[in-house]
Amino acid sequence: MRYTFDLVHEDDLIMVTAYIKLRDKERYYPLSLVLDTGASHTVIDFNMLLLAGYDRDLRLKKNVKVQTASKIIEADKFKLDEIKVLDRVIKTFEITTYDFLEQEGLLAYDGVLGLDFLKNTQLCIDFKKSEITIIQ
Amino acid sequence: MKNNRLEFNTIKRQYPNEWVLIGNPTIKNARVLKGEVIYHTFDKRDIFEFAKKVINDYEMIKIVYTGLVPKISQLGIFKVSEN
Repeated sequence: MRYTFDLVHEDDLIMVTAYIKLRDKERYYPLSLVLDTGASHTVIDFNMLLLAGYDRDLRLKKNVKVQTASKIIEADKFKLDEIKVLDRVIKTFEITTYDFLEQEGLLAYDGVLGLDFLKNTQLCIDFKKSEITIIQ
Repeated sequence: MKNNRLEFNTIKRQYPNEWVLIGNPTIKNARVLKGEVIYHTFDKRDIFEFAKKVINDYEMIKIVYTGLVPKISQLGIFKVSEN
């Protein structure tokens, strides 16, 4: 499957839709994530996890710190039941999360799709055609 | 609240600079093209709270912002360390 993106302005980002499975449901919530090959891990706004039916009791017992562009903050780890982007579906996918509303203010995205999701794939970003393909 | 499906440009005109909860959105290439306006507010926490109440009433929902968001050109690099 091919995915088209727009990089019109100098500071535009490559956005993708990641569908996360709602907890104990057969339905999904569509997240707007920045494709960031400079990010080691996938990071998602904790408010989105709450919306998808997760709660704090489901966090993994790991002490995690995230270094954003400006500071280091405490974060949590969760296991998503399922996440899919384009044709790539991963079940039981570990993500990092923190409250974007508290830490980041107004953002145009719900998180970052990092290298952990892209491992073991062939990722092609064709900037001439503005297309992404992920081949497993 | 009207329950008809609107083009996203129409939603932006009708609810400028607000958080809007869209029901059963049509999404293409990470953009919401159209959908049903379920709720709108200037408060993002408020829309999360409302969305939690109605998420099971729709096949899919999506929270969008209709204003301009300051762009962060120095987003990366996320690094995660575990102790």
